[in-house]
This record gives sequence, structure tokens and C-alpha cells, in this order.
Amino acid sequence: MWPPASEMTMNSEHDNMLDEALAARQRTSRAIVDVDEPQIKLVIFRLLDRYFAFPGSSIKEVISGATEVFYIPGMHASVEGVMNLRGDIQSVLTLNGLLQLSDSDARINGRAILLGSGAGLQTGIRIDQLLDVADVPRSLLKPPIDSLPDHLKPLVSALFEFDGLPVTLLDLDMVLQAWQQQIS
Amino acid sequence: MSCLSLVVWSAGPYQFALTASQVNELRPYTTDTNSASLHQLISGIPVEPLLFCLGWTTDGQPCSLAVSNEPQHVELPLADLWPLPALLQHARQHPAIRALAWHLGQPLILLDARQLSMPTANRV
Repeated sequence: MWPPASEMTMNSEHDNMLDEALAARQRTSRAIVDVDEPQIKLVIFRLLDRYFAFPGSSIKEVISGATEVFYIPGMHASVEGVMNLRGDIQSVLTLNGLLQLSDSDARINGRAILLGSGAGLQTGIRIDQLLDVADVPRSLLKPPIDSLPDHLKPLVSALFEFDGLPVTLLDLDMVLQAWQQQIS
Repeated sequence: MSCLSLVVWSAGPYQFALTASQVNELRPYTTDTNSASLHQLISGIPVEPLLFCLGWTTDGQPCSLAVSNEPQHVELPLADLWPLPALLQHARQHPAIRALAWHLGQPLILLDARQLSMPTANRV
């Protein structure tokens, strides 16, 4: 038996809806394929009210902020101290001075240490908050703008938005080279 | 060699050491002692009353360092000794800071007596 005419209309509408659903699904599939575009793993963090990132390839480990850091006298003020990392002594550096930021509040919970390598040095780097370790499409990375402060220009490899936040991608090689120049 | 003989003393909350083979004298500090003190050479060390003097010889010249706490002899296992991390070699403000060790749950800063005798560490 044929269904009543009114139901046939509904079925026809259902067919249209199915077509639309399939088309939408195809668009979604295309979108998924698009996500396969070249990506870069970034370690995104906060220092005071500024957001920065390092390439994941520069960061070996994220270390809990609860790890005890011991001050070592006789070092440049940017050296917070050393930590005993599984029996190995690692330095811990603060970048606030190099980035021309005021000192962070050491009492804030959630501070962490990034163990990174660059310019022939391996060191812990103190951050105020780890936001994410994320794969970011390279197409989202924008070249540094001319209006960047002069002290940042050599250190910045790109700018991008992450969760609506403006993030500055730093080159750890350049950062540690600049740090060496600053203290010498 | 599995251990390194050190002369260890504290300065404020920090621990310092010289290799025992370099040190040839430990005597009480007197005000007429013409010795450098660590807080004059290395920043970040609290000023404390000076009580002892460590002595050694560099290039035939007697040198001494005034310290505020009685030095102790320590046999440090070599496994607890580290060269200064590369970043700290750049960041150190005095060449006498040569190595780190882990002792009593804290870093121990190993100094090179020969470098303490350099012009920056000359007696005051």
C-alpha cells in the first residue's frame, strides 16, 4: 500500500533532509581532511598577563612547579637556581627580564618549569602557567608584525591566536642566544 | 677514586666547599687577618660574623678566605658531583664557582681556590 499523500510529502522532506545531512557530513569530512594540513606542536604558556609558546621540539619535559628550586649565589639575577631532576642537576632560568616583563609572583600556584634546549644549552625555564601542549595548524601562524617591540623582534618567529588569546611564538635558540648576550 | 675529600662550610643557608687537597690551613679569624670573605666575592651571600680562615697557596703565595661557620671535612661520593650546568657557566659572576654537588639534600657549591686567588679575589 502507498502511504497517504500527506505522508509522502513528509517523506519527500525527509529525503531532502537526508541529502542535506549527507552533504553536511561530506563537508565535515572535507574539514577533517583539511585538519591534516601541516601542524606544529607548541607548548603554550603564560608569563604574567602575556601568552607565549615554544615549539614542542625545543621542550623536552614539563616539570611540576612543586619541584624544589635551590637558589645559587653568585649567579646572574635571571637564574632562579637549580633543581634535582631525577638525580641530575638542572638550572632554572626566568625569562621575565629578557622579555622586559616585571617579576612574576613566586607564590602563585600552578607555576611550572619547561625543560628546554637551545643555543647549546639545556635549562629549566620558569613559567607562570602552562596553557596547553597543542598541535596548531601552521597556517594559523602569522609572521611577526613590524610594531613588535625591538627587544622581542629577534626572539619571535610567529604570532597566532589560541582560544582567542594572542600568543607569541618564541624561538628558544634565539631566546637563549639573546640571554647569553644580555648577561655577557 | 670513588670519593672526593672536601672542606665544606655554610654561609647563610648555602653550602660551599674547597677540595681538601688545596687547603693547608684552618685557623681562627682575627681582625688583623688580611683575608677575603666570601660575601665580598660572591653576590647573594648574607654578611655574617667571620670566625675562621681557610688557607692555601697559589703560585707560592699564601692566600686565605674568611668564613663564618666552622668548616667540616666531607668525603663526597663522585656520583654526587656534577660539573656546573652549561647555563650556569655563562651566568656565574665569579670564575671560582666550578662545580655543584648534592650534599645533605641541598646543592653544595664547589669553589676553585686558585680562582679565588685571582685579582678579583685579592685580599682586601
